Amino acid sequence: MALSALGEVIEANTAYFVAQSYELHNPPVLGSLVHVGDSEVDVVGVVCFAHTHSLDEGRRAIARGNGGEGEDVFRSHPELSKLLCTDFKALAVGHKKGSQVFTFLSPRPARVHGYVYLCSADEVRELSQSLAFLRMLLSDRSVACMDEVVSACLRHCAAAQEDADSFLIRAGRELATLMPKDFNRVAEMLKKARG
Amino acid sequence: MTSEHGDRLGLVISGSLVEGIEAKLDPSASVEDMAVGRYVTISGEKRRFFGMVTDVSLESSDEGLLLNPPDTSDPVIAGVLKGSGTYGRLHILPLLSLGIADAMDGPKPVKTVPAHFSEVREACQADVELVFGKEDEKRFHIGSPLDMETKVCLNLGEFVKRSNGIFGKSGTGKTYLTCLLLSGILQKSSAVSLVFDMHSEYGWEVTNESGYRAKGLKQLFPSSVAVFALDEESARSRRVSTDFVVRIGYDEVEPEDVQMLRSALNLTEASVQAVYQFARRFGDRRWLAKVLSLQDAKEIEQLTAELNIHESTYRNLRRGLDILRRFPFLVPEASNTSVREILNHLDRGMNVVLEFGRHADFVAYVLVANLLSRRIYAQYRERTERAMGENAPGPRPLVITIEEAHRFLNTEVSQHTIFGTIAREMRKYNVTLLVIDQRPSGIDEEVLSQLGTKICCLLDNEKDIDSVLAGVSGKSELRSILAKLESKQQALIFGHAVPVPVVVRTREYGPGFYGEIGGAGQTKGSTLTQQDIEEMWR
Amino acid sequence: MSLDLTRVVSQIDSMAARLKASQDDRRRRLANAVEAVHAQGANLDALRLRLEQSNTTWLMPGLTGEGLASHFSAPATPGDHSVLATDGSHIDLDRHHSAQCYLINVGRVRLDYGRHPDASMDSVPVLYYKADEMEMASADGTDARRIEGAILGGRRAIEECRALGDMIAAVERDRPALAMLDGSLVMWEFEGQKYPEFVVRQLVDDGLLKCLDDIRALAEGRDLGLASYISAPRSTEVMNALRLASCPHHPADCDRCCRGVPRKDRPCEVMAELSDAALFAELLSVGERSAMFISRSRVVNERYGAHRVYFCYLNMGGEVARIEVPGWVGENAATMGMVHSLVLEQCRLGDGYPVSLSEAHQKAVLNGADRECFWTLVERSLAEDGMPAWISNKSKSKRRPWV
Repeated sequence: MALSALGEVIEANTAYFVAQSYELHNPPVLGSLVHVGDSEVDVVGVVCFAHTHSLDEGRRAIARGNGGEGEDVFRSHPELSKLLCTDFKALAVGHKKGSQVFTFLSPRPARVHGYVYLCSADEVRELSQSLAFLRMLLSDRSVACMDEVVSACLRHCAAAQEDADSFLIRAGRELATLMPKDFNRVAEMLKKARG
Repeated sequence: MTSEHGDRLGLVISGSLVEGIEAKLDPSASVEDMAVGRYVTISGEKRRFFGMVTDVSLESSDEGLLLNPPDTSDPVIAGVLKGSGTYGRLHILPLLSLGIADAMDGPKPVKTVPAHFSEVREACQADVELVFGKEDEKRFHIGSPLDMETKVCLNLGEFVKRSNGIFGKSGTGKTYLTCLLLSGILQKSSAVSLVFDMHSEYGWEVTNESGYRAKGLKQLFPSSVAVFALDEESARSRRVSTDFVVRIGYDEVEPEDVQMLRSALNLTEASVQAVYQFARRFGDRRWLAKVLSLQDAKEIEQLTAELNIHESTYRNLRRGLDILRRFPFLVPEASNTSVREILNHLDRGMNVVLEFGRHADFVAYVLVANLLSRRIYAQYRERTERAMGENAPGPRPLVITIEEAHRFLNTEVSQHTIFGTIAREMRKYNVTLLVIDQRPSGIDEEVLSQLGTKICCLLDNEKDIDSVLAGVSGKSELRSILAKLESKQQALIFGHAVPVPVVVRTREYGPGFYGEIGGAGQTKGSTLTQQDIEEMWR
Repeated sequence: MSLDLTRVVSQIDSMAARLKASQDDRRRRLANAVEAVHAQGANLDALRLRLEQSNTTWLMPGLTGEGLASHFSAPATPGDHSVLATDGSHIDLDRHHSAQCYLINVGRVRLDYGRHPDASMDSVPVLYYKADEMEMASADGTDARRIEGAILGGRRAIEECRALGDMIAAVERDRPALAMLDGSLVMWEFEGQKYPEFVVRQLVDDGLLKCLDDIRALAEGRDLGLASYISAPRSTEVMNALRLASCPHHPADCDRCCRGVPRKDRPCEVMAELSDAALFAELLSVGERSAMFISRSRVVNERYGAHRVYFCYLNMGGEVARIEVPGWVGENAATMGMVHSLVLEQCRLGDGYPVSLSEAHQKAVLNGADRECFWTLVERSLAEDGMPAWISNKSKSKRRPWV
């Protein structure tokens, strides 16, 4: 099944890529695994941040509603859908070469204007075999709410597993070794990962 | 062999030969399934190690975690917590080195520790067999290691070469264990037993507090066990057929016997001295009869004055000796028949159980056991020396079983009693002791240290535990095991007859056991007996 | 900072005081004007006659059948409809650069309202660099004008209008639509003798009006309004008519009647210095439009024909805006009603300024960074092709100020 692209890379470096979602307000959900379609190597990333903003840096969005009454703002302002855009940032956690999935960084960053697709359940399962991505996520300092991202990511990975609980236990132990002396943080993340 | 390896328990994380090895328990293994005393094998880089779990502890990698315990009602969080934030830790006492993993060399003493992160596994059947050997001619199946069906076997041939001890507080099954061991000795070694059966429980029938009856030795091995009685009436009322009624003559009581009973008879030190004085005056064999026959006040006065014995001392002594006189088995003239009869039986390979019947008090017990043992020992000594001179085999090894051993072997009297001598001399004259006691701390340290193999049931008195373990390597580890034994059917065995200390669930002493030893035991016993008699009188 | 604010502050203060003093005067003049509207409003024919007969220097409006004081509320907006808008900006020829070229960027916006709201917004930049694009030549080749300044502005207006036509063509015929332009429909720069005839013809007759022709053809048989929106208009045509109406001289001929009379003493000065917007702010309620007027600008009169420009004022609430439409729209009451309602709606949505125009402007606008970028790109391309990129010293110094 060929999934349709969710967005397009607009900025990329070794550690992450930023893509613009094709649908306003509808980027891939937090923590989901996405990959950038490419002829050779697909960079695989974890969606860690999404941001809806005015396309024009000089123009801020302003409140236009009427306190929830009356018209739908986007109905009466069709131009807004073209003035705003939703970007999402995905931290690179691995890459894909054909059907092979690697849990270390791709030798090259994603290409700008590459199409971004959601990873299939099989790919998620394969990628989450190794929990190396947890270390990559946690070592990133660019996203403030990384714990939430990790929780969300684990939630997605767990959903792709046959035995979600044993996966979470495995992941939890990995987290515990990554964050020694902070088990309560691990517990909190797991609790959120269980939904 | 059911499995090549036991289940994996964890990894070695630190340790030293002296302090023992620390292993981190795998998350998959529950701390609660661990038990001190359990055997493990550690696969090092070059060799395998055989060890015993001597402590289990809970560890945490995170102080904060302990202050703010997480919500463990969530199975996932609980699952993660196990093995990461918190983990179990095993303290393992390395016992033996099993050599290179595949070339199953025999066990060797351990001289190093396994490398970091060596795998710790439960010892499997094959490992335990390798260490304790299989049940055979010499080895007697005494029980199984905790949580295992493997047999732990005692090399009884080795066992009887030294004096041994069975310890445990009352109600821990010492009696059954002793029965078990005596059966084993009877079957698997060339030694014969003389049991001073204070409570009349080994000979014919064993009864425990809850009224459960088990067969005594005579019932199991009728042809190789003789029951001697001190109190034939009691034996009759219990419908025990006795082979001989023991009588002790006054002439057989020596001053040492009285000295041993000093506190039991409430004698003063001066009274004991007086005994020796009397003995010097009247002779070792006649003094008691003489003193007991003193009636005339004048004669007494004259005698005491002569011997410089204070009047109160005499009164004290007399009161004590009168207690002896009241024993029916103590007769003015017995002409040494008891000792002879016992020796006769022993020589024929018969095991002798001396039941005390109603005379189950310490005075009678100590007196009789000491007195008979001394004489029998003297015979053994004489025969052994003779045999050595003729370069012939000595007499059949003898194991003397005594209960309440601290009465004979406490620091105060052990120097004087025959048992102290036997214990210290080891098997020089082919006589060893099987000491049964619930208060090992009462036994002289030196004697305790001479015991070859110690079989300890639960002890909960610190002093008792200390004394049992005095001088044993891995003392602190064994100590924790000893204190945590179950109150029944579990024993820690360590010493000469086992390659490593072992906690066993002792073999059930009951119908199953009778079946297993039945027949074979008897025939074997009798053939052995025949052989021995021939050897003896050749 | 180049502006010495401390020196300006005191001046601003005096200015404020002066303005305050003139407020009362202005209010009085405004009252006079309102009074005049009511007085003259009823007698439209008399006013029309006076407008015909008078000879003034001021630009006078042409009157339609609607009285000066009349005011109209907007009809309901159509359900599904589209609003189209274009706006442009340009990068002028720069003599500080070696490359002779100019760029026109037209922002295009289409907003669909109703059941399926949608929007499309883009901008179309076109670079002009060919020799024949750099100047406008007469038919016989004897004269030519460089395309810069007002002429470039004219060309830009044409491009905006052409783009608007293209967009209109793409809208379904049964869909009511309003096409909007920013600024005046009247190319007043090209009135009079300032530019040679061939320039005016190319820009007006063959340029803007041609585009308007196309749009008019597209509008045939459908609901299509074309309107141009002027924010904060300073035009005074209606006021001029009022002043004329209040003139005691019949027929009025300022040059003759008031020759030598100081301006402040002239009779029409009681309504001086007021814009149409100021007047209609008094007369129109929010959302109402004024009567329609017709531009009597010379270029319109001479050249616009069917596209002669009608205009009215619309009270948006915050301000009064001027709406200009071609005649074929202004004369059609229904279309004009739609224009009225949709412009109003656009302003409401755009917070006082038509949202479509505002977005078109955003698409078109070229800021300093854009211009910088553009020139950098030009220079780089030239350099890659081995051509010397010459930049004037002034331009250099602007780019890298030094001390």
